Amino acid sequence: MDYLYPVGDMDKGNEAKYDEKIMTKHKERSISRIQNYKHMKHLKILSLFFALFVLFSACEKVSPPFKESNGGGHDTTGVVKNVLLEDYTGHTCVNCPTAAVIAHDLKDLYGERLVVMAIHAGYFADPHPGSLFDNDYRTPSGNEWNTFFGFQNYPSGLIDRVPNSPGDYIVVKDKWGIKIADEMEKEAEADITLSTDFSGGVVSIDVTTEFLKAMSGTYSLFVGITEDSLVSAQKNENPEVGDTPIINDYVFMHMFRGSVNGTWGENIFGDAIEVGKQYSQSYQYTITGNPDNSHVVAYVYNNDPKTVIQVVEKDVK
Amino acid sequence: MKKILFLFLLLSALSMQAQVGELLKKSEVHGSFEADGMYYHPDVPMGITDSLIDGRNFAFNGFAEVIYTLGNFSAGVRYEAYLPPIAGFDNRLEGSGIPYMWASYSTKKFSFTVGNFYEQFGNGLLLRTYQEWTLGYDNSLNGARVTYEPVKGVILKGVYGTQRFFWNKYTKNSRGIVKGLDAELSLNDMVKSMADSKLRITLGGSFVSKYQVDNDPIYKLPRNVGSGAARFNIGIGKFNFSSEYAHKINDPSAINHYIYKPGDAFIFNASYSQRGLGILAVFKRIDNFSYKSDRAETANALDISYLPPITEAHTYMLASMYPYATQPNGEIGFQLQVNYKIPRKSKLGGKYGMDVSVNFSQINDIVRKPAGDTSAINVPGTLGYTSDFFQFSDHIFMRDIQIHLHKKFSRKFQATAEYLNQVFDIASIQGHAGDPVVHNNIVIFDMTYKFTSRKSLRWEAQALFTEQDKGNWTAALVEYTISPHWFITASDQWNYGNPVGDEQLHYYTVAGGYSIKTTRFALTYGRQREGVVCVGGVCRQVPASSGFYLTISSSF
Repeated sequence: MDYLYPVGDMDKGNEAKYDEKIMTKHKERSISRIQNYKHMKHLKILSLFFALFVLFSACEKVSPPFKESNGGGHDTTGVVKNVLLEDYTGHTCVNCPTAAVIAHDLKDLYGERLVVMAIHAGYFADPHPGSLFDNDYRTPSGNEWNTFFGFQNYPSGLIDRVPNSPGDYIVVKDKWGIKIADEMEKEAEADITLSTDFSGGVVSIDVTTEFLKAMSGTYSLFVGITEDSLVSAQKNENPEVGDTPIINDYVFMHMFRGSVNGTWGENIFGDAIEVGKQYSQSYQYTITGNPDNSHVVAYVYNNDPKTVIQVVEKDVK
Repeated sequence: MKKILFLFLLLSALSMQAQVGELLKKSEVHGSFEADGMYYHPDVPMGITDSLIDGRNFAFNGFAEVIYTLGNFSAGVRYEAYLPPIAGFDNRLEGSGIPYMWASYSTKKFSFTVGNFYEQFGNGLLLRTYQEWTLGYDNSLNGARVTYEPVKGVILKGVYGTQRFFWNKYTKNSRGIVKGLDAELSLNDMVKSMADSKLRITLGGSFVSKYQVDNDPIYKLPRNVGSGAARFNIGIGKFNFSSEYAHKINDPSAINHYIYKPGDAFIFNASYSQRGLGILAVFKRIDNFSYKSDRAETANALDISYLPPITEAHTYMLASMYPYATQPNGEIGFQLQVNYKIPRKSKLGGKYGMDVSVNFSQINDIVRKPAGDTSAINVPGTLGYTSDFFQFSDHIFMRDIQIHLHKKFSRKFQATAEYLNQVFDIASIQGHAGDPVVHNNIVIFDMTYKFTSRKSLRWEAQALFTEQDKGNWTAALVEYTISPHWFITASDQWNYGNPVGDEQLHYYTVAGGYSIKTTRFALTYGRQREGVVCVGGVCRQVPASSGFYLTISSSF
């Protein structure tokens, strides 16, 4: 305490007055102190606020080059997990060429570990007779998948048909790279050997699947055909890809042309998977497109929730 | 002993009951709910077939929100259901549950909220979370918010959380984490000598940052993207000036095609207001300012920033056919609006005066030049481009000229006439690549006749003339109201000028509704034309549909 009674005699009245005076003074000083304390408190809070400002301002300015130099790399020793990218697209979809560029960049990065199928389906794939967009690139299987997976916006895709949450499989184009990188990290659960022989317009396909570990659930094998280098008109809004608003001679790559064994393939593995067993299946399929640019895609997927566990691709010729 | 125990328990129970009763007396519960149901039927001329409906004849959007308040404490919860969502809403909304739940404690100077919340810093250029039921839009933050008023006139805010993304719960690295700070200083409240001044000054500043993991195999992406903004509002008598400038560091995203240029947003408002006259002038420039908590998202979701539109939001049927949506990659524009009331008893004003409003707004693209690190513009993985701040490009996104007249002729009759002239770049704004720019003229008449103080008849006649897109339209509406409870209305929009003969369709609707206190029922039957609905610059595509639409809403 910093106030004391003065030394000396005092009558009671004076003492009371003095007390009152001292008390008033004390009160004033206390108020002043409280105010000072409040100001200090406010200053502290403001300082804290600005310190937080500084803390938050830890932003990252990226310096060129802005692209990764080594990319994700690709491991091809032993049996590795390949990844399937399904690009849902259409020739009147203005943003779809940009998605095709992303798919192309990723294919460059991952090589044969990434298999791309461009599925032409939905509103933007509708043919418009009498216009530049009169080609019908849709397929019955593509249409079924389009409905099953609930595509509404294009371009969008599926990465190994891995659900984001139950029933939600669709991945926007700018997340393809991230999802593919995640899938590439997974261990291979099956090995698929694919061989083709083309003769007289017909491709003979032999597929052998071997499961590398004990698996639960049931699985199916799907075999389909893709074709590169089909040329026709495509709407486009990205001048980096080509002319806008229409690229008259757009080169379509990885276009899905049809399934060999049905939209959902077939369960050739039975209800109980045997590890190490060689499951072989043969097909014959008439190629309607250009066999020099056509490929066979084979993948094995879990029937529920449709997730692809391995995929391979081989040229028809 | 047993008797004493019984007596003690009885007294305790009574005391608790009294306390609970007291608490209940101090408590307040408010809420609202809405249920929108749609029944679709095939309509072959509109291209709606059984196979398109695919058995999903019914659609339902509904919500119920309850807010509980007890003294300084309040809490709220909102249940939503989209089973399935009504046509035009994002199908990722399908489902039901509680996406919004919060609790808050507030004192005179301090407030703390946990759970889901909505917040806005300044004009929202850096941060605005909000919900718009008619669009199915909700970017609420889920986390914590603190507001503090250390001295009168100073408001500090801090927010931290993740944004709502349909029904997807936040999991590690599924999307970004948002943090923000805002300070607003009202000088008139802070400085005693300015308390009664005619000069009113408010200053503000904010900082927002988002964190998102970089696991992209192609690009080196910034994990922390920071942004800052400064703003002011100055009022001098009848004049008011306000402005905000925001800057964001490199934020490559799906929207900006993965370019690394920093972003800027600037808005300036000047207004003058006196009895019978109001003048508003706005200038806005946006340059690479899409700011989302997920850089890969391209749809209307996860927006951190809000870029306010400066074009007029039209409500008449044909006037709203070409609504503008802010272009986050770049736009520069201005708006000038004059509202004038021609005085009563003047030659033009007549007995009741006449309201005249003229609005002109134009939004152009910004000018982009190569950034130097590449010969082309907007190349992914580069700085993208450079741009002069005040340069308008020749590319007009939208021009909107509106003349609006409203006159009351007698106690029973009043009328509105409106003329609009629009230039609308449908290719850029709605993604109709290759479609020519729409030039249109729109004329609207809206008349109301009051039979009695409760019964009135309103009718509209509208026409839209254009040689582009779907050609000419005409529309009419009749609405009979028995206030405060009943209304019945019939309308038709006829696309008689559609260049495709089969698409010269009538889009008719008949609707009736009943309101009692805060509860409203409305039933509509008819056709909904394909179109775009925008609220506050955020738009959604509405596909054509045909059928019954029932809506029930209430609040308490």
